[in-house]
Amino acid sequence: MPSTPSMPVVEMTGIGKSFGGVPVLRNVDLRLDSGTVVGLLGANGAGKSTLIKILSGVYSADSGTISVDGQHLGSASVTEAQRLGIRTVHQELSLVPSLRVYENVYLHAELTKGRRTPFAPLDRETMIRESRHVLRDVLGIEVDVRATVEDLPIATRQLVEIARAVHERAKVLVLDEPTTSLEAREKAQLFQVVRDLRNQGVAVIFISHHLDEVTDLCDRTIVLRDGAVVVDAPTAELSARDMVTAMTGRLVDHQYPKKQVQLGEPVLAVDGLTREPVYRDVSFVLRRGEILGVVGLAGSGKTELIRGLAGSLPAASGSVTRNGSAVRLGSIRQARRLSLIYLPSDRKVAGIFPEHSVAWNTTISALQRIMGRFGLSPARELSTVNAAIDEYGMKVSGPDQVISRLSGGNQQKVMLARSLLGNADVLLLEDPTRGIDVAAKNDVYELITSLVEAGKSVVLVSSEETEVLGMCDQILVMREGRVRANLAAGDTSLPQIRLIAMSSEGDDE
Amino acid sequence: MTSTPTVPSGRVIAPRAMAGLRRVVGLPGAGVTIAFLVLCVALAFASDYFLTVGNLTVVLRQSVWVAIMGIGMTFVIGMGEIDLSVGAILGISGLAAAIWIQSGVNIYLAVVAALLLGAVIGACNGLLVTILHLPSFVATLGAMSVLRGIIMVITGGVPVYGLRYPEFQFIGQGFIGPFPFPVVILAAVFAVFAYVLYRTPFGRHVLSIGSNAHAARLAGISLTAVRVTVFMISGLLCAIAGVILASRSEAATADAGQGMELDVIAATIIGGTVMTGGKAVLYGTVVGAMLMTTIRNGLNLLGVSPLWQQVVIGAFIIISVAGSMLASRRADGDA
Ligand SMILES: Nc1ncnc2c1ncn2[C@@H]1O[C@H](COP(=O)(O)OP(=O)(O)OP(=O)(O)O)[C@@H](O)[C@H]1O
Ligand SMILES: [Mg+2]
Repeated sequence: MPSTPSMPVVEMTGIGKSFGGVPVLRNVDLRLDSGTVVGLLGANGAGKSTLIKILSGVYSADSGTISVDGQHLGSASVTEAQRLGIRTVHQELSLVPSLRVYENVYLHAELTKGRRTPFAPLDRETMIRESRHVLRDVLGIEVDVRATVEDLPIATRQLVEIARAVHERAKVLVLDEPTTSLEAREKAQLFQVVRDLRNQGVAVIFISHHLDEVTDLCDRTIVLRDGAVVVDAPTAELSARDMVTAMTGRLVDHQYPKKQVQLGEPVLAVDGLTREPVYRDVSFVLRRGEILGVVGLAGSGKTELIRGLAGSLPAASGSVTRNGSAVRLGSIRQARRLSLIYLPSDRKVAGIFPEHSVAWNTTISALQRIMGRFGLSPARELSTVNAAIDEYGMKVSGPDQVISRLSGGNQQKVMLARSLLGNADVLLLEDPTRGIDVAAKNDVYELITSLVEAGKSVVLVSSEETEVLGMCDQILVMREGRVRANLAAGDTSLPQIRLIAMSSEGDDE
Repeated sequence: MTSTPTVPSGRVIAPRAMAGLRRVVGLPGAGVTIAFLVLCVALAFASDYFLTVGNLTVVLRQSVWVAIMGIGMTFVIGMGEIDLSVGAILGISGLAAAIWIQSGVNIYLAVVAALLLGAVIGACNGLLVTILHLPSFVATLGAMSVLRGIIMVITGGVPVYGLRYPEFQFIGQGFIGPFPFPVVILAAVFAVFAYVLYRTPFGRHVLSIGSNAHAARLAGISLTAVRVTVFMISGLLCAIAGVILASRSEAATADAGQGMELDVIAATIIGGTVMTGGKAVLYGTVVGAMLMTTIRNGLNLLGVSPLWQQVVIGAFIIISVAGSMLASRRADGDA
C-alpha cells in the first residue's frame, strides 16, 4: 500500500495555459508522489487532457513550473519527458495503424542486435516475444502481435497503447481515459496492472468519467472545473455526489431516464444474419419505440453485428425485413436510404473531419437540411448548429471552431449531433457516450429517450453493461459471434448478463 | 506564446492590432495574395512598362490556362488525389478540335466534342482510381504517357496549322467589351466552380473525402461517384484550356501543355490548397497562377535570362509556400 515518501516525483506549480487568448488552465498545482494513483476528474473541456499534455511535453505551459524528481522540465519536448520516465496513454489513440502490434509497442524504443543505433539491425524475435508477454501475461489479452493495428477492434488497440506505455519501466504513468472502450474484464485486468505498478512505486495519473473507477482505483482525487483545481483530497473522503458537484458546480442525479414507451409495429427484423467468422445466425425483432441493447466481451461480434446492420460489414446470408418488406443492407448508402443511421465509436478514425469546423462536422450528412435558395445557406447552417450546440451543451468557442481543437468529449457530442440530424428512423449507436462527462451523459440518455418517444428505434452497442441495462427494452448477449441470450431488460440483472457473456465455450452447445 | 509581442527593437505593438494582423495573415490564401501584391509593387518600381494596361492584359491572358486547369486541380487535390495528366489532356483536346475543324466538322460541334473528349478522359482517370483502386499518381502518370504517345502517333510531331476561322479565333483572341474572351471564360468557370465547391453538398463531399475518406464513407457519401466526377471536372477544364490555347495560337502543336502539370500543381499549392487534401482555396489557385505568370513576365521585362528564371521561380515557390504555412500555423496558435 502507498507509503508516504518525502519528495514528490512530479511537481507542477502555477500552471496556466491559453489557446488563442482563451484560458484553458488557470494556476493549476499538481503534486504526484511515487506509489500513488491520482484520479483526475472534470467535465468535458475542463482541461484534463491539456494538463497531462503539458506534463508529457506535447504542449508548453504559458506560466508555471514543472519538475520531475527535482529536475526542472523545460519547454515542451516529448523526448525529454520520456527520458525523465513519463509514459502517457493519450485520449485519442496514437498508434501507427499500418504497423504491426509489436512494432507499435516498441515504436521509438526499438530493440536492436548489438548497440542501439538508428541503423543497427532490429531484434525482431525479442520484440515479438516481449510484446506477446506484456499483452498476454500482464494485460491478459490474446492478440496476434504480428497483426496490423488497423485490423484490430478499438478495444484491442487501446490495450496495445497501454502495453506500449507499461512495457518499459516508467516512473510516471499517465492514463487519459484508458477505459472508454474496455469491457469489464479488461478493465479489471488494467486496474490490476495499475495497482501492481503502484506497489512497485510508480506514480499514476488516471483520468476517467466513471466515478466508480476513480473511487475504486485512486488514492487521491483532483477535480478540475473550467481549468482550475476545485478539489484535491484523498478519495476516501469524497462521495460520488461530492465529485459530481465539484465537477459541474451543481447537483446532478445520475439516473437512467428510462420511460416505458408503447412499443409499435416491428421496424426491423433480422433472421439468421451471418457473416463468418464474426457473427453467426443472429435473429431479432426491433419494434417502433424500442431500444435494443447488444452486449458481449470484446471479440464477441457485437461491434461487427452493428456494422453489419449499418452496411459497412454486410452479412453474407440471412434475411432482413424493414417495415414489413425484405431488404438488403449491402452498403452504408443502402442502409442510410432505409433510414438506418450509424454512429461509429472510433470517432478519430471513422468520424471527424479534423481540419473542418464544428458546423461542417455537424451538418455533413444532412446537408439537404441547410439548403437555401442559392445552395447551402450559411444562415441556416448557423441556426441548425447553434441549436445543436445548446442542445448537447457543447463547450466550443463557436460553430466555426475547428473540431480537432475540441476536447474529446465535445467531439463526441458533435458526432452524436451529426447522427441525430440525419433523419434517422433506426439509430445504430456504438458507444454513444464514449468519453462524455457525467452531466452530459444524462442529457444524452434523455435525448435517446425523447427519440424513442417520438417513434424512433435504437440499437445500442455498448461496453457499459449498466448503460444497456438502464436504457434498453431488449438485450442481446453475444459470445463468440452468436447471440447466447435474448433477454427482456426487466427480467435480468448484471450478474446474469456477465455470466452469459463470459461462460466458456461448450457450456451450452 | 507571449501576451505582448515585441518587435526586435523592443517596441511593444498593440496586442489587438497584432492579433488582427495575425488573423488576416492566417486566412486561407492570404499568403499568396500578399506575395502577389508585393511582387506587383516591386515590379512597378523596377520597370516602367509593367504597370501598363497592355502588359497587365498580357499577364492575365497568359495566366488563363494555368488558372482554369488549376481550378480543376484544386478539386482534385482538395479530394486528396493528384492529376498528372492535365497537360496531356489539354494537348489532346486542342489537337482533336483542330483536326475535326480542319476536316470540315462544324466549328461549334468540334469544340463541344473536344470538351466532351476531355471530360471522358478525366472520367477514365476517375474509373482507374475507383474501380481498379490505382493510386491517382500512378493512374494519371500512365494516362499522361498514353495521351502524349497518341498525340505523337497522330501528328507525327507535325503541328496542325491554319485554324484561321473567325468563330474559332474569337475563343482565344476575341474581346467582350474591354475584356479578352479567355478572361471572361476564366471568370465564368471560377464563378461556377466556386459555387460548386463552397455552396453545394457536392463540394463538401469532395473536401470530406480529402479530409477523412473513411469517415466520409460512413457519413453516407458515395466515394466512387464523387471521385469520378472530380476527375471528370478536371478533364473538362483542361479541354477548355486546350481549345483556348489552340484558338490563340491558331494551331495545335504536339508539345502543347507539356510540363504544364507542374505549373498547375504549383499554382494550386501556392494558393493555399493543402497537398494532402481536405482544404481547398479556389481563388488562391487563380492568384497563384497569376503570381507565377507575373514572375515570368517581370523577369522578362528585367531581361533576366530564361535559364535563371527557372531558378528564381523554383525559389519563389518554396519561399511562398513556406511563408504561408508558417503564417497559418501561427494563427492556429500551436506554433
Ligand atoms: N489545440 C487546441 N487549440 C485550441 N483550443 C484547444 C486545443 N486543445 C484543447 N482546447 C480547448 O481547451 C479546453 C480543454 O480541453 P481538454 O482537451 O483539456 O479537455 P478535457 O478536460 O480533456 O475534456 P474531455 O473530458 O472532453 O476529454 C477545451 O475547451 C478545448 O476546446
Ligand atoms: Mg480529454
